Amino acid sequence: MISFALSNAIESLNGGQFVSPGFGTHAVRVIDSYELIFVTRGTLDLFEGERTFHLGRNQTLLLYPGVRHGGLLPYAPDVNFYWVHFRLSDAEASGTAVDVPKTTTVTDPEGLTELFCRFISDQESGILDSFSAAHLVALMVCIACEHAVSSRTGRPSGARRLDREGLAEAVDGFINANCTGPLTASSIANVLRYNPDYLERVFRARYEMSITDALHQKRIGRARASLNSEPGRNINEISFECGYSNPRYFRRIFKRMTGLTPREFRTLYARTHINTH
Amino acid sequence: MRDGLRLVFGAGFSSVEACHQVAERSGKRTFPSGRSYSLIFSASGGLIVSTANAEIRLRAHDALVLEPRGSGAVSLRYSRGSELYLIRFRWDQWAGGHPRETIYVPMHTAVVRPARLTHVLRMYTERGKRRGASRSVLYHLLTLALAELARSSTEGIAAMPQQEPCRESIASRVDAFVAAHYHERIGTPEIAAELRYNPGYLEHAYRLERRMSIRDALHARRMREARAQLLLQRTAGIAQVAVLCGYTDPGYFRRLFKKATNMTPRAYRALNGAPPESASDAARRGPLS
Repeated sequence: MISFALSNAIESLNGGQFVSPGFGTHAVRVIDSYELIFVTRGTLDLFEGERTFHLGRNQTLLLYPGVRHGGLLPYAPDVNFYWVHFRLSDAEASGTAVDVPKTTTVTDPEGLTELFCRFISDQESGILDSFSAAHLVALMVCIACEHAVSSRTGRPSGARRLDREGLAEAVDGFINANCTGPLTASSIANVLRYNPDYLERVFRARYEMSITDALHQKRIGRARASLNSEPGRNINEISFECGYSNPRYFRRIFKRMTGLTPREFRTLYARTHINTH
Repeated sequence: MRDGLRLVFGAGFSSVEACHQVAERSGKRTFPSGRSYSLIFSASGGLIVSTANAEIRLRAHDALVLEPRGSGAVSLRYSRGSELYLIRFRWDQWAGGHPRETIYVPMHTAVVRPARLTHVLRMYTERGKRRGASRSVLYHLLTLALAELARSSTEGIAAMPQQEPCRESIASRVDAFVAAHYHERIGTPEIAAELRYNPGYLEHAYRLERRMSIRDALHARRMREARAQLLLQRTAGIAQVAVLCGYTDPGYFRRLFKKATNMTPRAYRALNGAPPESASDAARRGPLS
């Protein structure tokens, strides 16, 4: 046996998934723990103390203990969010500090959703030990405030360099908007009227991956979200929706990107705890 | 008012290398066993790990954790098509202040739920190869992976949940659908149509996993919500609450409620005078929801 000594700043309580029934308002209350809220669909309007928050998709909010909070408006019919309560443990730790802002926009929403699913599924099947739970919640908090891959700073940034970064970001934006269609690296270069090799190089310098991989990553990201949120969807249909016309090719790419088959992925964290009020 | 929260995590951790590879041909890789720990997971195919004094054969879904050994090297021999994860990290045992817990991980583990470990390791390697990955994210991902290994060794195969994972997944999807749509006019046929299963098969699979019919599960969920909504919507009439819970006939609702709770909806509301915050969850799990 190999031993690892650990310290953790968090003690976790319970978590769940809220699905709007189309009526009702978030209760006004004061709780004695922190609560992390992660909106995956629709918008959520809450207040805490004197402040108001309007959360959209992929945004998180950290609520504090002992401060009155509640809903501002009735639940939007399509709102869907995950929540988890936690306390801070009194362990004296020195080390890496993470500053958790009040609200964040999540850069890896699929990853955070899956961690919530893991937490809830384990909690519901009774296999969530307090140790894993605490580290899982700490991980969720850290992922919520993880930054996007930022370009290297501290280097001379002439106008030309900025142009290149702007171009790489334009490609990224284009992929985001059109990834469900029949898109390839060369068709992107065609549309944007750049040499494909040049575009590839510029993109790689900014995002550390090829355009094709970025395209797969976006598409597979969508597939992961669909597999989680649409239990009735056929996997072939999901592959079409994500821009893959050949389901077998989709399965291969999915396995390559996630290490799991779509089916394994769907059954990974099966149990849910859904509340509607 | 404070804006944000500062959390401090274990200091002694840093990532040395994170790699995931699918071998296109058989080969070998060597790395120094120096000052870092290594976690090796054979996701598919086999693997032979040679250290200074041992040769360890890893089968598919085996994981190996090696301690730092000062000098010397570790070599991995893999065959074509084998898939492996290799994570090398520093873990300075006492640098993180007073450790609260110690986790014991076996050196060699047959991983009971490989998909769960794969998911965590993949999140790790995706981040580990990027510049500026958050150290605290990597730290907690690694901790979860180690916890998964520790759990595999204590549970073993014998303690594996007996349920069939596919059926469990089906039953969970039914539960999720019922939880999200209990207030609509749904029954077993609608649920089966939505989840694209034959109604008879769905009913059978659900019964095997949950030991009750889908219909009973739906009524149970509706009753749970009814108890909550009776207290949350105190000004609403009983008929309105019935509709919110998916019953158009208040008489039928009342009858079912009385059978499930041993009192009428009105009596239940009167008995629970103070407006609680979230009744059903509070009842189920204590003070929070």
